[in-house]
Amino acid sequence: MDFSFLLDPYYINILLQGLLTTVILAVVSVAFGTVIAIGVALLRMMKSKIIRFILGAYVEIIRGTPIVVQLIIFYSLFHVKVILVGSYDLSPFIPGMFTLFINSSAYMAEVIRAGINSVDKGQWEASRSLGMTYGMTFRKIIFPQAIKNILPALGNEFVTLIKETSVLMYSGVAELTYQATMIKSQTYGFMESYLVAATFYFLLTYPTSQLMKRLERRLAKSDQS
Amino acid sequence: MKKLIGIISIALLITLTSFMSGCTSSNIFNYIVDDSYTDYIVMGTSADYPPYEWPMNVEGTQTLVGIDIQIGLAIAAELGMNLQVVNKGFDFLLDDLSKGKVDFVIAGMTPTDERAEIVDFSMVYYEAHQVILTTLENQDNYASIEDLNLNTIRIGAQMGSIQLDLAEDTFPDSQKVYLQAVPDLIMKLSQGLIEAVLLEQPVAEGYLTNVEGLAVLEFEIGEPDGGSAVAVEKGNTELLATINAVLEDLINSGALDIIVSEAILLNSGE
Repeated sequence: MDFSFLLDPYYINILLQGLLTTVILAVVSVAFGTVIAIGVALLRMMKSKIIRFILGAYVEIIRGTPIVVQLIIFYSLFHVKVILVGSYDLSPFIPGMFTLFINSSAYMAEVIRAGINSVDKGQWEASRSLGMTYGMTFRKIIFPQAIKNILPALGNEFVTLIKETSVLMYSGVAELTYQATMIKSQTYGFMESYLVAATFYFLLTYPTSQLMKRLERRLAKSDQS
Repeated sequence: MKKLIGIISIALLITLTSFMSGCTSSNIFNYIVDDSYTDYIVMGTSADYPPYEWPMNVEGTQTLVGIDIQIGLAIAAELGMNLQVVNKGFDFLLDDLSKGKVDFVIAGMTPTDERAEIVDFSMVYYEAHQVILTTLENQDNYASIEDLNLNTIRIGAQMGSIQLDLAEDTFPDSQKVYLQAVPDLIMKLSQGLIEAVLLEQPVAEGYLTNVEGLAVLEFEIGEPDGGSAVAVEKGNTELLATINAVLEDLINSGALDIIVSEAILLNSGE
């Protein structure tokens, strides 16, 4: 085991840039994924059977297929030329980003749906009988209670997504795992570079999940009163 | 809802600023052939295959170097353009080329009939023999192809490479391990998870000097292969003619021999 490359600012620089790309990918895809997921979850509550069927199929198919396969399919579907924006090559970046947020949107749609369903049905009936409209009930009564169940699960989804960005290395997105392979080709330290990458991933995911645990506890406090 | 919009806008802001700041290290490598050239020609490669192409620290920046990069530079110079190199997994390269994402591919790629159906190949610029890389301790146990053609032996080759076909043909009884990147195969070899790896001779030589405990077996396998060629999009005869002219010039003038020996020397770290 030879970790001396960690003392070289050249390799540290490469790793940090990979780390930055990984964070950007995860943050952006969670942001976009959440928006799509909210739409999907709300539409799935509609009365129309066709819409419910289509969205149900969407969620099940995306959740039931591996993300690597999805990436390769989306990669061949998108005909993006090599365009440089800053230092990012859009040709793998756009299909990669698309895969990530489509993938996370399906998982999060389920989380949101479960969160909304977890609110007692009596709440609906009570507020409807008080003369509130359907939309008002949802906004003022159901959603504030549902969000408590949803937020921690969304945090976990974010942690999962940080790890899943690593599949984008196959199509050439310069994220952490990609940079680890590049370092491996230069130092011939095959296991070392991946061990360092694993440590970096853990440094990202562990604080995030701890933060989510604290948030969960804070949200649970109001339940006791 | 307001919070959500806030989070999204922060996310967008981070992305934008990082795009603007333009980190130097990505999967794209720009080579300025001449300051007066404004256009870029895009070359696809897979930088895990020394001495053909591999990443290296050149004055503090990560750059790709190797035989194929030098050839790409010569082609770009002939066309009067700068060179932009895109680094991807080897099995993505031909897909990229046939979809027009890159202009040409140089990645130590051997022209085969199957590949020639989706892309066009130039003349062969470098021919190499195929060898078997194994560990020092196992070296004496394998004296012939028969010693390796057993179901207890695991043979490694790169995914999508001609060595993969060679492994199938030469060692029908062995277990096969196909991975995307050659360094991963070498790692498995040094850890004793596979017994042998099929490689091109200059590639194997590079690992011999850089990784301890490896050895190349005495006997060769297969025919001396068809060599490496440049791939262009099917029907792009104009670019192909230019590339062939450049290659012919490099080979006849002896410049290519110098490029090859320099790349092998550079890879051995001397």
